[in-house]
Amino acid sequence: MERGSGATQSGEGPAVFEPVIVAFLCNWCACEGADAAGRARLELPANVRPVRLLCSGRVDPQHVLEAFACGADGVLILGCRPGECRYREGNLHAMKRVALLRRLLGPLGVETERLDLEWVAAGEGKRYAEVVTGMVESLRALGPLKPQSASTHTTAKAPDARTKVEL
Amino acid sequence: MKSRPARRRPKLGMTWLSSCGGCEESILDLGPDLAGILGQVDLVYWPIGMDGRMEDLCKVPDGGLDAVLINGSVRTEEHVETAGLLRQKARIVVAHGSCAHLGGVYGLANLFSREAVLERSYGEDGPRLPRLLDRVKALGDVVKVDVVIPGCPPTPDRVREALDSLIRGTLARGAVLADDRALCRTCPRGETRRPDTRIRRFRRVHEATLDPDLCFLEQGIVCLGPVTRGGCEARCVRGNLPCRGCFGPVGEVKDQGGGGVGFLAALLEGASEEELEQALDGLADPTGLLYRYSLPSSLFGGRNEGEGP
Ligand code: SF4
Ligand code: SF4
Repeated sequence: MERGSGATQSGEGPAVFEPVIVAFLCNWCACEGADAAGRARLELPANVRPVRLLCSGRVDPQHVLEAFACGADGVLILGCRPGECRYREGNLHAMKRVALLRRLLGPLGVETERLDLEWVAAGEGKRYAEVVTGMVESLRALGPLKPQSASTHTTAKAPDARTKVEL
Repeated sequence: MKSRPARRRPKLGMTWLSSCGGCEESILDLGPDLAGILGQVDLVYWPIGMDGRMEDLCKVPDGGLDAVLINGSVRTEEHVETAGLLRQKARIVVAHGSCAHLGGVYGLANLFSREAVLERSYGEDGPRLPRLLDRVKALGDVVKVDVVIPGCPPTPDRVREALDSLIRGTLARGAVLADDRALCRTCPRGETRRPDTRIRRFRRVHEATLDPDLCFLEQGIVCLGPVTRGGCEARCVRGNLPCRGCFGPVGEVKDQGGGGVGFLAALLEGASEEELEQALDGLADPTGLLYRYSLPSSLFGGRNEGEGP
């Protein structure tokens, strides 16, 4: 992924921070919603990196953590409205995970606003545009996430062991 | 059967980095077996148990040690140097215990900046320490690790397994000396765990009268058995305490916190945000709970500038 944090757009006026948002879109609702937004030629921010999944309930918490580790400034999960999940309860599972994930991420320095779950039905192009635009705006206000480099558990990072050790 | 020539006694080193000493104790936990094992190895370097000076270690030729057991987390620049020197001297580097394996309990210091940690512990005029790294690391973050003995501290059986295979010459690179399946699979309470259980509100151990035979999750108490490697003989569960994850994530889980969120969320009762928040209010410090031993080797290490939970 292209690192978004810190990226700015220079034009006239002050530089604007362009956050990177990884958006997990349910195939049956949000993807259609995004399409509808495109067909209606609504203005959409270019900050979103969409990932199509069969259901919002398919988003593993580890996917979210990995997105942040790779440089996302925000993660957005879009699913069907309650009661409309094609797999009955996938969206409810997503809701439970997000509630707990936010509590896990808080002490790690990830503000609540950086992880969002919203319902966007197929055909709701306008709502899709509003949700992504709203998130871009709140991330602009927060600034870049800048994670400390997480562990790499690399196999060959031995420092130069010949360094003289003085004790 | 022809008698084979007597094997050369393997040369062994052992040391600690940022460690509580519990892993060193795990050597002594071998009890009477220890004498037999020590008779079959040539213990060259073990600072806590014998005279172990860095300059003597420097004189050992590269690759001159068959194996070295390193416990503790990597916290200071001196730890990085020590680990690097031992890597150079030893053919097999063993991460001994959760701290070396995953970063360990001390890894929770990564919720704070280095400056905040020093300030909190020592105030203005602290002792002169080797320079602290920005964050606590696992051994595998600074040198290549060949074998892992998980556990905080590892059980005697796991340590014995490592030393026995070193003596027999069968200690293989890449081995994690534990079960590859989740602890629940071998837990004595495993049979009592039901797939349809839902939790309305998590409880903490001191808030409940514990049933000694029933799965902790059935009692609304977080147990990390589902995402943690087995191989510890379920010692905590047998002692009527839930698993806290010291053996690290089971093979298919990359990140213990993320895996923990996954299975705990599925247990939550509630269909509205209010109900879910209520259920979660019983869960004290989820970050410290789910990453108790593995924060430095988690996918997203955190920003390391917060004030902590
Ligand atoms: S793994 Fe546990 S017993 Fe070993 S040094 Fe770390 S805290 Fe101590
Ligand atoms: S969750 Fe804990 S108590 Fe329940 S079966 Fe698994 S390890 Fe045993």
